This record gives sequence, structure tokens and C-alpha cells, in this order.
Amino acid sequence: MNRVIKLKIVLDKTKLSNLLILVAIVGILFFISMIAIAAGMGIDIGVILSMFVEGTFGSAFGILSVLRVTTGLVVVSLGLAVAFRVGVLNVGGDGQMLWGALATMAVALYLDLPAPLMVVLIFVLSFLAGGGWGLIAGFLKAKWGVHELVSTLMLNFVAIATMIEISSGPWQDPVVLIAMTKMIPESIRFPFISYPLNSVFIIALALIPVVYVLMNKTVVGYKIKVVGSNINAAENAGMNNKKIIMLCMFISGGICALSGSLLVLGQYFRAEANMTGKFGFYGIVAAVLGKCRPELMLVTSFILAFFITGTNSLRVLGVSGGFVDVIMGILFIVGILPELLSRLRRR
Amino acid sequence: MIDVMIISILEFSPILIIAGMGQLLSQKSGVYNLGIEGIMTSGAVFAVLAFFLGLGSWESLLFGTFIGLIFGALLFILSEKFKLDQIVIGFGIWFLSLGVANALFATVLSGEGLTLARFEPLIFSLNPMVFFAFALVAIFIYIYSKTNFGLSVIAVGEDPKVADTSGINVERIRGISVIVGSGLIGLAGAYFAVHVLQGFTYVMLSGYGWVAFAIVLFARWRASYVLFGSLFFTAITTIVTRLNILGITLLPLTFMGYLPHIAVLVGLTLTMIFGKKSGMPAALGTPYKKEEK
Amino acid sequence: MKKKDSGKKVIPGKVVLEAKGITKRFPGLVANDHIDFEIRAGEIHALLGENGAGKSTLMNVLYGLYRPDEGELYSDGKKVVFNSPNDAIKHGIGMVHQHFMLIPTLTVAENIALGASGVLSRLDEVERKISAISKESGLNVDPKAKVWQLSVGEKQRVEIVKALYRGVKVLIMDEPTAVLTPPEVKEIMAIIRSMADKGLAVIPFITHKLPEVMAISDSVTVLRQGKVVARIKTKETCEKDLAKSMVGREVVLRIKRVEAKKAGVFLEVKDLCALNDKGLPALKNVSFSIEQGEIFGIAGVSGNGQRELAEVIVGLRKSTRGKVMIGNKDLTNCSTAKILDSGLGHIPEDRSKGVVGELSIAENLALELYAKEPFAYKWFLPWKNRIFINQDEVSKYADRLIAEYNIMPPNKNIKAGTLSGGNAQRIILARVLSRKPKVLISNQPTRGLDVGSTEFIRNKLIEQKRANSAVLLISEDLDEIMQLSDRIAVMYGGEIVGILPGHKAKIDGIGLLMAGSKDKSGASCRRR
Repeated sequence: MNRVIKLKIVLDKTKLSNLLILVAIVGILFFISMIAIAAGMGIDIGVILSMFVEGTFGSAFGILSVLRVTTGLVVVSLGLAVAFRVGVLNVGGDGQMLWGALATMAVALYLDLPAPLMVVLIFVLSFLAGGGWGLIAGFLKAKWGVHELVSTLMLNFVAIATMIEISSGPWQDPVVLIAMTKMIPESIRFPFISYPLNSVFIIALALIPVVYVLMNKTVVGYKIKVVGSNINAAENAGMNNKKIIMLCMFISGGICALSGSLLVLGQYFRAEANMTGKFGFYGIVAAVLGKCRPELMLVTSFILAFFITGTNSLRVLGVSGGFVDVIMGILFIVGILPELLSRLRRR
Repeated sequence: MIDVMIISILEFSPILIIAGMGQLLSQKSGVYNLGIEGIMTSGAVFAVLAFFLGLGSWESLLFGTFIGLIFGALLFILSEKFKLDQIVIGFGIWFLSLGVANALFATVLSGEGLTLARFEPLIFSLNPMVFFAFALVAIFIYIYSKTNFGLSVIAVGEDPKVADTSGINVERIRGISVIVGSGLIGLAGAYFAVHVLQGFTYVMLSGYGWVAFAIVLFARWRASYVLFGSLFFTAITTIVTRLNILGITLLPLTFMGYLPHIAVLVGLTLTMIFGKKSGMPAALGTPYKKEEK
Repeated sequence: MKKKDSGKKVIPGKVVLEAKGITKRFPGLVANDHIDFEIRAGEIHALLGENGAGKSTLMNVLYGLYRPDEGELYSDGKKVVFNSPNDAIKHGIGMVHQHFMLIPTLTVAENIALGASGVLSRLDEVERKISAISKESGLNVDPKAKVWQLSVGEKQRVEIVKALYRGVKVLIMDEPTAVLTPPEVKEIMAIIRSMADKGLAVIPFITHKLPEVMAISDSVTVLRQGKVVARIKTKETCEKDLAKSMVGREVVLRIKRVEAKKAGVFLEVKDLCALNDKGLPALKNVSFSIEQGEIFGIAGVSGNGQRELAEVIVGLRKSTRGKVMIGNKDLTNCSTAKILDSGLGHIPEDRSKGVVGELSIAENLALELYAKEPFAYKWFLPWKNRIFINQDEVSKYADRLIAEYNIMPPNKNIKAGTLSGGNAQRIILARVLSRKPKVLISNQPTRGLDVGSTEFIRNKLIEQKRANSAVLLISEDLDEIMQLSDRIAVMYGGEIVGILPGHKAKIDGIGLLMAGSKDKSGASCRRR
């Protein structure tokens, strides 16, 4: 018994020191990036850092902005995690989000019902739309083995094209010249908790326990985990692998679509092709870093939101948005280093 | 009219052919290069950078290849040496290289109004790179069927353990394949910038790199099919562009732009339904762990 | 087994490979403990030992995969150090692995050419050389054939040619006859003998094919717990003595036989036909029936359709003709779920297909019952199926099974992937047997397991028989088949070639049936 206790303590210590090393590496790389930016743009590093801080924790607006970004990001990561758990690499989060947005706009622009009813309808339809979109890729994979990287990515482009056409066509806002839909009616715009943080944040948070229960307490979640870990064992136990993969992609797409809905209802109040802010891809980072566990993904989404918001606040200084991708890439790579560290320790 | 089209197609094709061959090289040895979209973009930007520095078209290609090699080295070190998950690392490099490309462009190169100089045609109104692309495929086929190196790569991609016990240096083979493959991908991006677009825009690729990736799957890892696939999908792109210019739009404009993407998905699906499903390097995606001594 | 060829004098040549004081340690155990060994040209020197006796380690040291912590190797009298198998090959030491080191998609020539130096692969030269070696040694290997098309025996011969191609003087063979049918065994033994006569030194590493050791080798070295416990000329010993040295005590191999009280046919297979993964016929009109309360054993070397048979019965593979009836219900080609529901239990051939490593032991134990009461409940939802998992029930069930089946370590929350083979198999057994299946299909249930688990599992199978299950036992282990089965069938080439009553079967007769012969008589055992 003693050995077991001792082992546990050692493991916890290892995790903590791993975490510290990780934080140190991220910190160092972050500073290097900031210095690179400063040098490249000819701006004083102090200015950059203070801008970054102000855009995130240095002001109320900053903190609220970080939380706002977390809203959309965490929901997408929840959706993607469900797919990852069954072993399918859903990189079509953006497209599924756009379908959620499209469904939202459809209801908003063509139906006139009491607001609560509209909202419920919006969520249901969004989920179905995104779910259906994800199901296409799920079907192609289950039935014919088409690699999901290709199918979900290409479907993304189809979704983007659809959004561009609709937002520059029938639903275009007559006041603007670019591809953007009209705005949704006031009645269904969610109130702000404190600008820019909107109450849809609550809904996003509420989805976390829902997905947690789904993955850990339901039969479906159990099946997903088995199929995702050992598809042969699942088959031997009588599970219908194909059905589970398709169901999983449906759920995944549906949840991602909800993220798109929330963006429309609580942030942009309209839809356009760039609205996803690449969350469909950044969500992958959040999900992988959070080991596809809902409670962890909230934290990782928050951390990513921190970096995204901070880097974006540098735009004022003329810093390119490309740096967000750079930071994301670094986080992605650094994020799975702990695996390496634990392995090195075991030697 | 037709011959103009054919020349157009051939002039465009090296983008997909060279990128596809780069990906094929990597995957044959068992490593996915999921950074392809970003690495191509970086290749394009670095080509522009070369021009910015006053260098010529050929040097630009070298610059593009160079950055491709760098990212390839990163991919190799992280996924083979450190044995981290290929897919996660691949995506990481995708974002990283994409970000570096966009950031570099925005910071240093935008607003410069650079127009890159195209390549002069060699024969039949085709520039040298077209011949290079075709030669690349031929060389690849030769190497992989007639040389020991090629045999070693195939072995490493199928079963690294067997390769190792036969005395093949698995790490070296994978290193060469991944890095050179990535270099080719960078080269493809550079060619795109120098000869086709004669510049750089944020949206120049819009998933075209992923089309090259998909072509490798669609081709079931056969070099000749990568060539045919690249030509076919380039043809779709070219024809669509021509139709746009002529004002013929069968589908809404944006969809026409994404036709190659849709086509490659349909193509892959058809291959999976009707074609031979085998051909995938059996060890694709798994790092090789050497036995304990 | 046949008598050794008399009149063939093996001329002992000089010592070509010698190991002195080889010691190799791993955390927690000494795998090789000061082992001395030598072999001469033209000698066949068998290395015998149970699983875990240190055979694999010694083999890997001789072959260059491991560096010994202490001790030296001498090749042709000169001290050598091997840093890799390449070094070993350079000194003429080659290995034929049990799990072939071949790449299925390449041809024989391409496989053999792997790792060659030089730029061009010059395959036609390679092919010519292979043909020459092949003819001379009697191995008959087609250099242009693609490896995936070859049979198991043919693949082994390719491995041997691969070694000969590199000009080895010592050939280490890892369980050379483990995967062969009796006629293939005779063939390979003749080939090994003739190669030895030409001056090759051969070291077969063997676990338990004692008759073959007696038939083929000139000398035997027995390992036990990392040490050499016997080194003797084959003609001065016999099977019984070898077994005793291997195990350290008198070996009692028999499990007490229980009479079958048959209670009516429960599993019936009629004219079953099916294709294998390559599209070739794997089952050809297989018919048999199993009654409740009996163990029906199917003997045969893997690759004769056993796996496909089990898969068809369980619903994992489609049959092209024929019927599978379980308890008078026609369940041919039904889904696995439906078949499992009708009272069938399946212990898969490959443990990794029955255990989900990433999940906990408890979650694994629930693998077939997860959707049923009381493990899942509906709450107030109107759906047809049950939605939520009842963690308490899962927990209690896991505790009960872990105790009953002695699963180690007894922590239901740890990941199943950390368990040893024996314990993983216990999880599968626990899960399957506690559902009280009326039909049990067990495929290679004790393959690769330690003695303790093996005994446990075999007793459980007998328990099932007593509980009136119809048990189908598929096993490569003839001893196991003979001890446990009430009736024994032999599968060869996708067909059932004979069904014998268990207590009357002689191992030689079965061996012959496994070769397709109709002769059921067997030679008497060799006495000292």
C-alpha cells in the first residue's frame, strides 16, 4: 500500500513540474515572438508588451474580450473533442459553424415568432444543420473509408462558398457593399453582460457539463470511447462501428454549429464568411491540449483566447493577424511536449 | 483555343505536381506532412522576399525551397526524433508556417507593389519548371523501383522494424524523405508566386495545398496517378478560370472557385468506392521506436 | 516421431560461435546468468527453455540486437562485439525470426535485397542468386513472388534463403516449427539437416517441441531461469529428461478428465463456406454440431480457416453459403450483437481485440452488458434504449469479477492496457463467462500465457462444460486439445478432415490428419 501512495505522490510531482516547464517554455517563446514582432516592425518592445497586457488583463475591456473569445472557442472545442474521441479528425469545424450561422439567419430573417420560441428553434435547427454537415463526412468515412481530413476540409470550402453567395446575394445587407447578411432583429439579440461579454457565454458554459455527461455517463459516450480506442474490440463486443462513427460526427457537427449560432446571437448579430475567426482550427488546439476532456478544454480555450485577444489587440500598432497563427502553431507544438517530458523522465 | 488551354493547364500543373510529389515522398516513408498548406504559403512568401531583396526568379524558387526544408526539418525532429504525434505536429506546423508567411508579408512586403518576373518559355511555350515537374515524377518512379534507396523508403514506410533489422537506417531515410519532400512543397508554393500569380495574397492558396494532399490519397500513393490527378484537377481549375473570363457560370462564382476542392473530394470518394483500396504505406502515421539495447 | 536418420555421420567441424559468461540484466530480473555456449560447423545445437527462461534474450545477444552486460562472444575464435544485427551478419550469423521480418507488398527478391549497399538495386542479379541458392538448398523459393501471396511455410523458407544469401555460417532459428503443419515440419527438418551436412551451424530455439528436438538436433542446451541447466548430446537423452530439466520437476501434464453429459445439440454448422481477406476460399463446406455439456476441439495449425470459422459463427464475417444455427435459431450472417444476445460467448484469438487498453478494467468488464439493466437506466426519457450508465452497478460488477477471476492488480480503475497477457485474458474470460453463455467459442485461449493463467483458463473451460455450455475450443496446442476435448476435429485447408473421440485420439494420428492424410495410426513413442 505504501508503494502505491509513494507512486501517486511522485506522479503528481511529475505533473506539476512538467506543467511548470511547459509554462516556462511558452513564456520564453512568447517573449521571443514579441521581440521578433518588435524588431520587425520597429516598435519598442515595451509598447508591444503593454499593449498586449492592456488588451487582456490590464483592463476590464480586455478581460471581457478574452471571455468573449472563450465563448465561441470552447463550444467548438467541445464539438471537435467528441469527434476526436471516436477517432475521427474533424477539421471541418469552421464549415459546421457556418451552417449553424446560416440556420440562425434563416430563422431570424424569415420567421416572426415570440423571441424564446425563435431562440429554441434556432438552436434546434442549427444543431441539425451542422450535424447534417458533419454527417456527410461521417457517412463517407464509415461507408467508404474516405479520409476525414479531406472530406471535412473540402466541405468547409463548400460551406464558405455557400455563405459568401448567400451573404452577397439574397440575404445581403443592402446598406453595406461587402458580403454580409442583414442584421438579426433586436428581439432575439442576447443581452450583454457587460460589453463586449455577452450572455451567450452562459449558454456556452452550460454546454460543458452537457458534453461531460454525454461522454462519461451515457451509453453513447461509452460506445464512442470504445470505438475510438479499439475499433476491433468494439466490433467483437457487438457494437455497430459505422453507426457510432456517423452518430458521433453528427453530434460533433451539431455542437460546432451551436458555436456559430452563439456568435450570431451574441456577437455579430449577422453572418459572414469570416465570422468563425478560424475557431474551427484553433478549437483543435484547445481540444488536443485539453485532452478532449470538457473540464480541461474550458481552461485551454481560455488560455488560447488570452493569446488570441492579446495578439489581436496589437493590430492597432499595425501588427499582422498572421501572428495569431504563429502563436497557435507554437502552442500546438509546445502543448504536446509534456508527453515527451514524461517519456524522458521514465527512462 | 484548345492548345491555349492545354498550355495553360501545363503551366499551372507544376504547383500540384511538385507539392503532391513532396507529400508523396514524405508519406511513402511513413510520415504525414500536414503542414502542406502553410509550407506552400511560406514558400510563396519567401519567393516574394527574394524579389524584394533584388534577386531573380530562380533565386526565388531557391528561397521557397529553403523555407520548405526548414519546416520539413522541424516536422522531422518533432515527429520522429521526439516521437510526438504526427498529426498534432503537422497541424502545428501548418499554423506556424501559415502565420509566419502572413506575418512576414504584412510586416515587410506588403504595399511594395512587387511584380515577380515569370519564367521564359523553353519549348512549346512551356517554361522549364513544367519539364522539371514531369521529370520529377519520372525520377521518382525510377528511384523507387530501381534503386536501393527507393526500396529502403518503401520498406520503412511499410514496416520500419523489418527495415531496421535489414540494416536500413530508418531515421535517416525518414529524415531525407520528410525534409526533401517539404522542400518540394515549398518549391511548389514559390512557383505559384513567381510564375502563376506573380505575387502574393493572403488567400492565394485557399485550400489548394490540401487539394495536393488529397491527390496523394486519391492516387493511392502511386506517383503516376499523382501526375494524372494533378493534371486533371489543374485542368478543372484552368477551365473554370477560362469560363469565368468568358462569363460562363454554371454555378455561382464562388463555387466555381472551389470546384477543384469539390472535385478532389468526389474523386477520392469514387476511388474508395470503386478502386483498389490498398497501396497505403502500412506504417504511415506511426513513429518508429527502436528496441532497447 | 520418426527415428533419426541413422548412418548420417555429422562431422563436427571447428567451433564457429562461442559465448562465454553471457549475462544480461533487466530491471528486476537477470535474463541471462553467466551462460556459456558453443556451436561447431555442421552441428545442429538446439536451445531449449520455457517462456521466460532467457531464450529470447540469449538469442538477441547472439544476433546483435542486445549488448550483454557481461561476457564475450567469439566468432571463429576471435572476440567480437556486435552493436547491431548488421555486425552479426558481417560475421556470418543470421537469424530466422518466428514472426517473419518480411514486407508483404514486396517480392521475395526485393525483401532479400533490403539493406544492400550500392545505388542501383539490380534486382535481376538478386533474383538469379536467389534461384541458385534456392535450388542448391532445396528450398524452392520463387524470387518474383509477392510475399503476401506465400503460405506460412513458404515465408519461412524465404527467411532462410535471406540468411543464406548473406552467406551465414551460423543460422539462428526462432521456433522454427511453431507455425508449420507436420509435413512442412518434416520438410524443413530435412532441409536443415542437409544444410548442416554442408557445413552450416544451426541453432534452433525451441519452447516445447521436444520430439522435434530429439529428431533433429545433435546437441541440446537447456535454459532455466536464465542459467544453463543441461548441455548434452541428443543421443544421450530423451524427451522426459529434457522436460524435467526445463521445468525443474516432474511434469504433470494431464488435467483430470470429466465425462461429458451431452444434452442436445446447441450449435450447428452446416455446409459453411466463406472467403478470407484475400478473397480466396477459407471455409469449404464445414459441417459439425456441438451438444450442450461437451467440449468440441478443433485442432490445426493457424491459417487453415480456424479464424474465419470463428468469425463467421460470431457474425464478424459473412458466409457465402451454409448455415449457422444456435439453439435451433438460424443466425447465419446476423449481426454480432444479435448473436451475442442469443447466448453466445466469444473469446477472440487476438487478445488485443477483446480488451480496450485505454479504458479501465471496470469499463472493460462492462463491455458486453453496458446497454442492459441494471447497468444502464432510462430515467424518465421516452427513448427505446437505455441512456445512462449506472456507475454503481458497473463498479460492483467489476469488484465481483476481479475477485472471482483473480485479476491482478485488483484495481478496477486502472487502464486495462497496463495488464499482463494473462490478466488481460482473465478480463475477457470474466466478462464472457459471467454472462453464462450457452455456447462458448474460445479461440487460442491460452496462447502466450504463463503457466498459472493457462491452468486457470483450462479449468474454467471445464467448468463451462459442466454448466452445460456447448464449448468450441480452437487451439494450436495439441496437448490442450487432447486434454480438454470430448471430441476432436481437425481442420486443414478450410475443411474438417476428421472428427475423433477425445479419449481415443493419438497425437500422431491427429498430426497426420492435420496434413490431410487419412491414416490415423501413429508410431509409438520413443523410449530410451
